[in-house]
Amino acid sequence: MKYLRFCFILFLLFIISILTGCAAPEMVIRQTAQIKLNQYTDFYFKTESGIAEDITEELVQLESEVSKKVSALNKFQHFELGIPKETKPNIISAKAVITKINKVSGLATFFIGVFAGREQITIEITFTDAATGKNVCAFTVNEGSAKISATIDFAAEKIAETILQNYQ
Amino acid sequence: MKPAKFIYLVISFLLLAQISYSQNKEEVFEKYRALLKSGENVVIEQGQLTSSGLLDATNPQNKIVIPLSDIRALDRYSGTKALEYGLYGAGCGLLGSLLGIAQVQADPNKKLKDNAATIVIAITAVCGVIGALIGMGSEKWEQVPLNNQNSFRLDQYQTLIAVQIKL
Repeated sequence: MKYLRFCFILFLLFIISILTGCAAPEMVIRQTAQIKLNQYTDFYFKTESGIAEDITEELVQLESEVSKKVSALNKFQHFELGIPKETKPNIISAKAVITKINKVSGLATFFIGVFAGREQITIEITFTDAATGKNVCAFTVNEGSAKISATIDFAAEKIAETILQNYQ
Repeated sequence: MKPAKFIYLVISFLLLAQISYSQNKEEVFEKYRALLKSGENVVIEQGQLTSSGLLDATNPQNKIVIPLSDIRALDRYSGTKALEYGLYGAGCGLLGSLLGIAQVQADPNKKLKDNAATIVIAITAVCGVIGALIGMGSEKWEQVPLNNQNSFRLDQYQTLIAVQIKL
């Protein structure tokens, strides 16, 4: 009987550790959109690293996801990756900076579980009016879920949602 | 030896060791990784951080200094997670093997063997080694604050601490 109780406590601890290790990504709005985005016809998106670690893979994934999701919205006449070459009033650009990342190998997670640590990523996204250079809106996506790729997908979704919500 | 004298000796030794280390650290090369303002990621195997910039001495014939103004983010290599993961692995092994023993003890039809302790030690050691091997593949990097970032440095407060404890 004592053994069963001991096992039950261990099982509870295991479940708690899994639940705490799987916190959902969250979005923190730093600046709400003050203007409607339907005045813009061109959208540019650029990713940037803010840390010394090589995160090319994550930056490429973010660019790819944002390309897919923003193109699917079909709200802009022109979409391009990079920074705008002109400063026309109909151009809006968004920049995503990865400011924090903590990668955990699958092998480590398999062997030592929660002790291997949690994958984390922080992405700061800022929409800027190309003509005036003023920030239109800004938000941060942070904390990891089970995988970094899931948070990157979440960030891309939030960029698309922000465009959609502020377009009408 | 009285405890006060012993503490005095230990503190003196630590202060002298720290001063000695500070004087010799000019010659110490460490591994760095940096994000340049151009967006390029560089890893420097033998680097030294100076007031003018980051010295890349990997190739002694061709030493390069990267100015701090060109660096956006900088990390210093601080070892691997071998010890940390080794301890976690050993802990998991110990817990698992103790659970096994508990299970055997709880079953009235089974009898615990004499070499149970040896098995526990062996499982703990093997799990510790596996953990350490995995940890060796995980590098630890410490962020180096650049000019525009605030930092806490022990040597700045060393004199103050020494005065406070009234040597």
